[in-house]
Amino acid sequence: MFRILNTKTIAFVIALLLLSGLTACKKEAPQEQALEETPFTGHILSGSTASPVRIEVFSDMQCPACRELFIGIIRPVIKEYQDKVCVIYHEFPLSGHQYARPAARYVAAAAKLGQRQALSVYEAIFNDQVFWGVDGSLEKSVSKALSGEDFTKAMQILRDANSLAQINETIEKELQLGMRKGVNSTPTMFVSYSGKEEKLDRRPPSFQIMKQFLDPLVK
Amino acid sequence: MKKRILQILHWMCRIILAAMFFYTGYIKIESPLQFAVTIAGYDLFPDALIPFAAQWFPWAEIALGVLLLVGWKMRYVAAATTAVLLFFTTILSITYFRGIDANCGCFDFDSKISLLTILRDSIILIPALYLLFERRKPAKPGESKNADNSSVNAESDVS
Repeated sequence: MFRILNTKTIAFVIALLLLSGLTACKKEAPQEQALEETPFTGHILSGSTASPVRIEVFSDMQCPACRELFIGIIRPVIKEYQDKVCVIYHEFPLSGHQYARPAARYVAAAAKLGQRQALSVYEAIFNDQVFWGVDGSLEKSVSKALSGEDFTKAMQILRDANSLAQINETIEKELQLGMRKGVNSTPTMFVSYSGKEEKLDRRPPSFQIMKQFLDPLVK
Repeated sequence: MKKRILQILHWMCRIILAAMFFYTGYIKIESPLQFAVTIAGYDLFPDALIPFAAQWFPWAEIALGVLLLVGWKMRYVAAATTAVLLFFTTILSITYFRGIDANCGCFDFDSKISLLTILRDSIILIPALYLLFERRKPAKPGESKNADNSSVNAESDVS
């Protein structure tokens, strides 16, 4: 009896038990549930919520690291994967950044016109961050990004008290959502795939790493 | 009595290291992108290698954990464990002394590399070194290799 139950056998059983225990620790279902329960906010810049990979970014328009993330990673990801990766931007204006909230309002107004317009305004605002970050001249950047007609519509949205109140409320909701998700710095990125969600809030990955990670997931 | 204590010590080292490798392997398997970002943060490896390492290294840790518990070819496993831990400690030390602000990525993805994390990894080396250098009696002629392989008498572990 004891010959059969030698130490190797016992060790192997312990190893199996530990492995199965670790597997059981996976909490995929609650995470998926939490995502579904979250009321949808944010601007979809590419793909749809049905895309196999979802990248959610909590970003402050005046934060240089957010600019770097958008230009270095998010923009190439949108270009490369289009509808295969859903990119959602959440406004998370930090209190220390004077023009972050007005910038978020411009983006929200453009988003009311469509996904393409929202993306154009994001690009323009991030590209010109060093300029409007000094004097708040956001209108100049937005006017470059939109057609004359769209720009007029966006400005009308911002001048309308009801629309503006709605936009401000949405920004507040985004901030609350971010806090619920544990966002305490910008940019914070959540990458969701195959029932998992990874939070990246320090140094973002390079596009090359991101590409090698995303390629097998979107095949 | 002494033999019994050494036997307990031997098993403690194996169980502690195995549990650690299971845990560290598991968190990395669960968060491959975060692990890839952490490796990239060391600024030591080419980007092309990082996703490959992020994908396979955690499984190597799990395999080491299993081997440590099973006890097969213990000396080689102890050597591999020591090598892995030395590798990590060296990488952390290099990154720290280069002044790079990077995450450790050992037990979580939040703690930054500091002298404390380097010290912690160095302490973890002790059980691995013990398993590598513990005295093992040579097998007596005619003695069954499977008689008792769980302690310092673990001749069957030594290949």
